[in-house]
Amino acid sequence: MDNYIIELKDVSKKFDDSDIYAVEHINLKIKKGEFVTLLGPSGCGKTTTLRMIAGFELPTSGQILLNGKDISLLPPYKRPINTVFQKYALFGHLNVFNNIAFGLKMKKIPYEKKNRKGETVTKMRHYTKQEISEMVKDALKIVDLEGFEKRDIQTLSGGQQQRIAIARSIVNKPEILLLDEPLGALDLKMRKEMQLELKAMHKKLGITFIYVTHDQEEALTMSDTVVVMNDGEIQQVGTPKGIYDEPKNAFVADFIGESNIYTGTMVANKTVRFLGKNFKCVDEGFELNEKVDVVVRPEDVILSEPDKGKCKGKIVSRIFKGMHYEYIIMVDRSELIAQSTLEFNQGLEVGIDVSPSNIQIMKKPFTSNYFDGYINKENKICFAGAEFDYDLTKLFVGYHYDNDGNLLDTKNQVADLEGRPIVVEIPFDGVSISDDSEASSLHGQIISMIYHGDHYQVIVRTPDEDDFILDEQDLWNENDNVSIIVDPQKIHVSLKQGEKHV
Amino acid sequence: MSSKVIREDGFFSKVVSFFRKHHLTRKQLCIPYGLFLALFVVFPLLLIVYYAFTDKSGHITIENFTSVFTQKSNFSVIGMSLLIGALNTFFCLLLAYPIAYILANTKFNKNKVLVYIFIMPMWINFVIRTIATKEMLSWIDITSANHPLLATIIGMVYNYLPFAILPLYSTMLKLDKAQIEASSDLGANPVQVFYKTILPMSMPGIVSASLMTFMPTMSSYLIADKLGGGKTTLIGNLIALNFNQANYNVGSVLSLIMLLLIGLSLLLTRNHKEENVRGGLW
Repeated sequence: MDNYIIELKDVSKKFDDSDIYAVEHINLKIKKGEFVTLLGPSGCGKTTTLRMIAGFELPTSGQILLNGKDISLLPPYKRPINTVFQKYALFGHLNVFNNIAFGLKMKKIPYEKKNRKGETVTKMRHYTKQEISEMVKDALKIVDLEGFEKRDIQTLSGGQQQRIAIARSIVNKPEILLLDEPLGALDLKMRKEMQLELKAMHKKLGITFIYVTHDQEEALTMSDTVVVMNDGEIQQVGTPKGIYDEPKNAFVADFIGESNIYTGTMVANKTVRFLGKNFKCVDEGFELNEKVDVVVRPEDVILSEPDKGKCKGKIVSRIFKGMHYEYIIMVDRSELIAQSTLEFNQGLEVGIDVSPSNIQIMKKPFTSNYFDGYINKENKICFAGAEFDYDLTKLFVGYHYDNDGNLLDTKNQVADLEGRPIVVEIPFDGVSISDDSEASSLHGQIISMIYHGDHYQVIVRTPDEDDFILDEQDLWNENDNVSIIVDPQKIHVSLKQGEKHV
Repeated sequence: MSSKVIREDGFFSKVVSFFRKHHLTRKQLCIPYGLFLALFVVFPLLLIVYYAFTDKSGHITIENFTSVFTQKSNFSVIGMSLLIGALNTFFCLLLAYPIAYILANTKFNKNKVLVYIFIMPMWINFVIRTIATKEMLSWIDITSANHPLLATIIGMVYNYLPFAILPLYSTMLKLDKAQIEASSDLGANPVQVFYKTILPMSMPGIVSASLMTFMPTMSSYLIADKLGGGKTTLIGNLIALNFNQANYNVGSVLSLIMLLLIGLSLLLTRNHKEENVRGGLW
């Protein structure tokens, strides 16, 4: 048997009042005693995942296994799992003691008893008052609030309430403790303190912790394993160091720590070209001339005299950060963030180099937008909730337009192509955005912007939940509403697989 | 006169400048309310006390009290009032609690229309409503002749149900869902979740719903009169009877007794309200 305490198998969740999946095909295995953090921006599905483990939400599909047993449909009160809620959710009508004792009073424990025949039988009983009060006392000791039993919840500070909430959960000795952004409401100093305490508590208790946060620093500080999530999907699972050093894609690199992200080309085996120069790297398994994402951490940039580095750049900004300087360097038209203990003056030219092992190469998820579409009655192509003119003779060999603009097939009959499914491909550079709402009939909202050194990679989502990815020079704001302009020249249409050319 | 610059535009500043011009202070502004209170609250109360302690010729006496307390039927009326008040409160809570719970749940009640439907009887004239109830009940053969107590209670519940629903509904809207989830998370099954978490959390609403039904039930007399057909007598009926017969002195004593009972019921519930400030209507 594996020693996985909990296992998510292909779990998806769609809420009744929504068309999109909050969580999509998640597979995750968590070992007993691990401290796992689900990390991601708000709305990425991390809390939904946690709530499914707790039992507050039922998965739409997939399985949740606890110690190998399917608990997907088990109600929360039957799961040996306890939750520390974001806003504590302490019972206002009970004092500290009764809050912590809440779970204990309901629990039944087996005990052995000799019956009349002298056989030992196992029966269930409640905890005695004595036992409960001792356990509560111990729990308060763990969270460092001894003697608080009689206090009212309302008289406690936020930090104290948080500790009571933790005590209320751990007193039940759950197999898994779920923590839903438990430190979100605390001030910075308190939060740092609680991070260390939680970590120490985890070591001491040996309970599996599953922690949800959007704070990457918190995740890196506390966890054994970090699960980075975005858009309802797991992006990467790994140790904090592994995720920081070897981000799997541009999203993870951007979300975890500061990064320089560039679009590069594999010009030879173990050689990548970006910033206008060829750099040696260690990653393999790419095709020649494949477009890739290149990530360089600011602290991995080596600054030197102008003629000593691989390429040259001009320092445009310098900020003193205590231990080091943070520079923003322009290399031609690309921006590079570098951290160095060496002091250079602003405006100075410097040499730049990166050692091969510090260059992370990642496969580009894709370089084109793909949409499922169809052909409508007027022989226009429809996708993403809009229609476009397209020369269908490119798609159907032997077809031609007559003088009236009708599409005729090879037998000179008017072709009936209505509803024919197609796949539309538009490269990133075929899409642009504008804040002029008249510029296009297609509109969307910017949901993500990732800086790639000399441009931003922008994802615009239409009201129909179609995403357009494009490269953009200008800085936009997330949640901006924009018009999406598609260059008709760059649209490439193919028939959906399985559909034969006529 | 030096004056601070308050926003020159707007209604508020106009009102302020009006008061400035006529030199009205806060004290002077209180005069109408003071007059109102003196005229319509304090004076009638004093009048009741005066009548309670005097006889018809105006001599001070405690005879009225002795006559009320020596008459056995008076105790049965007070007992009946308390009983009907308690029964009405009980049934109203029993019906209003699940209704309010459903109304406050957005899954069942998306656009609050249902709330209005339950509240709507309050918009219809009280007398018409009561007479209509009487007619409706006679169809199913519940009349003042054969079931006076039952008819009275049905009438009471129908009348006071909205007053029980409203405070409960406003409390339910504010229920902390996280606490309900926490309760279930800590091992409480649905029944335990209800009486260990939801019920205590909705206590302020229950208290204020009880007050809203119990207090007016005791003093109401029209429902008992019409639906009980004179067979169920409440304090309200007795007071009305005494005043109708120009027996102001005994009627005043009964009014004082009712005041005392209502005061007591308020006192009993006060402790709870102070703990949970976020209450219903009161």
